[in-house]
Amino acid sequence: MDQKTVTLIRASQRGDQKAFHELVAMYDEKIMTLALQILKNKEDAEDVYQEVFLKAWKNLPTFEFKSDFYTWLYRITTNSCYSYRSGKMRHHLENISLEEGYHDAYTETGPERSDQQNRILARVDALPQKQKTVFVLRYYQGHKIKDIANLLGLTDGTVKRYLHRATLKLRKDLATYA
Amino acid sequence: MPKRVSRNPLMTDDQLQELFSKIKPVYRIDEQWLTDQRYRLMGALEVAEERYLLGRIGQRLSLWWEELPYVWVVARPAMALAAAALVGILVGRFLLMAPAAPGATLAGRGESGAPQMDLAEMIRAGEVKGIDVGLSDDPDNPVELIISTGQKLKLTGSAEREDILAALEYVLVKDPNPGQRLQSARILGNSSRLGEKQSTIMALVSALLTDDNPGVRISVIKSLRGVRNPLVKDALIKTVLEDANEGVRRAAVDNMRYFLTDLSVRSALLLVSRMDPIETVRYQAYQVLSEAPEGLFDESLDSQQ
Repeated sequence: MDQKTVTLIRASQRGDQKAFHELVAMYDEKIMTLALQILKNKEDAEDVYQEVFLKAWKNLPTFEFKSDFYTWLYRITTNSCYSYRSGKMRHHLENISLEEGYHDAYTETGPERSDQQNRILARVDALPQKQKTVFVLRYYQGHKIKDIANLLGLTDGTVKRYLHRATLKLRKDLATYA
Repeated sequence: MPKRVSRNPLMTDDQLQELFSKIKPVYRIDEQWLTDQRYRLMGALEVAEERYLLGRIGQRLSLWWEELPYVWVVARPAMALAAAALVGILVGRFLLMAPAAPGATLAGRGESGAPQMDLAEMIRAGEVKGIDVGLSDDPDNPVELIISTGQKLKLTGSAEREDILAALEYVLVKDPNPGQRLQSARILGNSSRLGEKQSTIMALVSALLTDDNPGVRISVIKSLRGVRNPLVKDALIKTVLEDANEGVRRAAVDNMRYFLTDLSVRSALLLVSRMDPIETVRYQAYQVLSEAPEGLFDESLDSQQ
């Protein structure tokens, strides 16, 4: 963690909202990307974004610099995504919400993909939530298994088990791809 | 050093990493969208801070309450009498505020058999002292209101009901708590009756023009998205030209895409695209303006001549 981040965190811990908003601006793009990768929905990602940084603000006084701030935020994000998906945060009204004519606020870019590659990605999206999160962290974001275990508060073995189960579910598509 | 092999029977860990590095979705986040989220967060933090302060006041009161017996022992009789009077008043208020008997509660779902009181009428008559807006777990009656009228009454129902809409409008315009106002704006925006109900539109427009919390104003604009109403149009024009908060102005500019056939809207957008002090707002106005169908500008020039 660089000195600027440490200074901003300390100021935020003393209740300096301006410093906190600077911290938010440093990390929020990555957090939003992660939320989108897990939730695949703009409105859900917006809600989780708010939730993550509100939780961060509330719990910042307990942050003891034992882990990287980014790792800490990551953990809050993945946990918030779980909670969101499991319906703890989801309110019924949000099902009614229809953003008529709302233009895309993010675009999915990247190389042209074959039908088969698209099928694999669609299967990844359809994985159970925990397996998908571990899979995204490992293969989309390139985190080490140990780091993922730290982020999610799991053991290395559990992370490996989730990855194994996920790849087994993708068996058919991966086999033909290989 | 031997290559590490994954337990995955189909592909090694390295092969999977290579595959997904090629095909994984890459998200390019729109900077303006992100900025809007930051403004929403600012509003939400303000609300959170207010709640925190209230919590601290509560803590102080509870500490004072714990120390009260010692004060009582050493206080002079006059102070004891004053304290007793105060306690008496508090108890009296508490009794008056106690939950009403079941028969007197507002009939939220209609089928409970209790007499349905006219909440809208109570609000108009000034009988309502405060309303807490919340969400329930019942999908058929997702809005939960606690109404203070001297008694505390609970009302649940959907955001399509006349009385619930009236209560939400009241909260949006009158409630001192920005969190409550924000919640009301969001729920009103989700009501399927928004487009048809003039009083709801008026409440939202009023909040857009007068609410001092930018988070609430942005929520109101989000709720008004797609509502094609002259009142909304005029309020948006005023907002893009006069609102002090750039996030609010940008959100309002974004909503103006629904009124692009209107000359005054296009003129305001043109002005904002040239004159707004913030570059992202100017750019947003330029972008929205560029969505106007070709030919409209020629027509407007003709009509001016």
